[in-house]
Amino acid sequence: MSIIQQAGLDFQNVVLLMLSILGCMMVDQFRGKGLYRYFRSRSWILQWLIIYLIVFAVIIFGIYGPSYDQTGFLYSNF
Amino acid sequence: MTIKQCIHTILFLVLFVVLLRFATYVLRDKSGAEYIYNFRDEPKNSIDVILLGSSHMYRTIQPMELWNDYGIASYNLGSSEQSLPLSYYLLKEAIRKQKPSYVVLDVYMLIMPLKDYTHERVHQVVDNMEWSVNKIDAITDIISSDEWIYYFLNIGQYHSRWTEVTKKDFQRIKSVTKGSDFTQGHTKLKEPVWRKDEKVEIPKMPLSYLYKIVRLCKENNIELIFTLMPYAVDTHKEHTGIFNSFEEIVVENEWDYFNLISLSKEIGLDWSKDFAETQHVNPNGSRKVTKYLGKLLRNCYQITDHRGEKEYQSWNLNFDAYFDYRRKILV
Repeated sequence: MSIIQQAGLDFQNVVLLMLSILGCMMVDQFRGKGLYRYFRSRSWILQWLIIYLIVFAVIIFGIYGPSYDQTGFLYSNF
Repeated sequence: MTIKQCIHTILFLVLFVVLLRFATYVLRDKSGAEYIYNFRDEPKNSIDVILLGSSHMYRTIQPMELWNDYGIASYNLGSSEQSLPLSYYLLKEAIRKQKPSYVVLDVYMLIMPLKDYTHERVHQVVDNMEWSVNKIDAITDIISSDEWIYYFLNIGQYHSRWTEVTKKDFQRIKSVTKGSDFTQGHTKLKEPVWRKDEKVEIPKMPLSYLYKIVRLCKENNIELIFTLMPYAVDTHKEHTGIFNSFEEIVVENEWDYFNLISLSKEIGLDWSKDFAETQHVNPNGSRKVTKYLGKLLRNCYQITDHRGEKEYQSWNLNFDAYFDYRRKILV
């Protein structure tokens, strides 16, 4: 764990990384085996939910923007 | 596309915007947000005095004490290192909903030649403004175009905070001070030596926005009062020179300007007791300066005393909450 922390990853990011890898593996497993058709056959509410989940995962968990450019975006007291 | 598909698409996008706004709010860094954010809660045309400036302003003048002592309805829109362009756009924001009779502007930030100093400070102001043409003007004027995206969609600025989100991030930003705060602590200072003969040219950028504020006030029949809040002005060599030059412009234009550093004896400020550090007065000092400004506003200007008016009942309740807050942090 300490090596991972040295690489700049905290606990939450490690969990996220593992979940992402799991997600990748699952998509890989089912690709070409009717994954898209299965997705389209679900109710529209479920379809929307999955799309929102993917889009917001990219927006929130993506590594981009000023907070990753600078070392520390911190407010001081004054 | 059928009508059903059309409606579906629109609904999808609307829900997307709603979710994005929610996620943005939760993820925002809310430090310092309470000073400006809650201004939107003030009833229309209820504020008579708008206070503007840097931390020198919002950490010195306490609107709730102006209320309790003089019945003055004011709001402190000061924020950390608020540059003059930010003060200008904040004033424009304020007069969208309020009809203030007076604006008190602290001129300390005349020393700052940079418009976007710093991104943190600009975010602290702009993120707390409601969406309007004025907010768009503020962003496009102050920030260079390659950074606009992080102001229009500030989730791009804050999304990495997802690991630090707490329960507080989901709650509504709330404050009882009407924009002000305290600086605690104590540093022994000496009354600064003010050399009146020294002149330093005022940086052009902040001065141009000061003129814009003057014009904006004139157009809206607002009386503008300049102040220089007490701080150890002699810790920076060029500061007294800049404010000496400003004084010349004041005389030329017959503006109202109160240099509260020179007036510190009249205020009763004790430089060895009333300061938290070189830049800010402590709660003791804040009480004295607030009281003095209130007296000034009452005696030299015709400011309405709203105490006892039905529409301002909430201010009395708010004062109780403010008093509790003050007592708690002063322990």
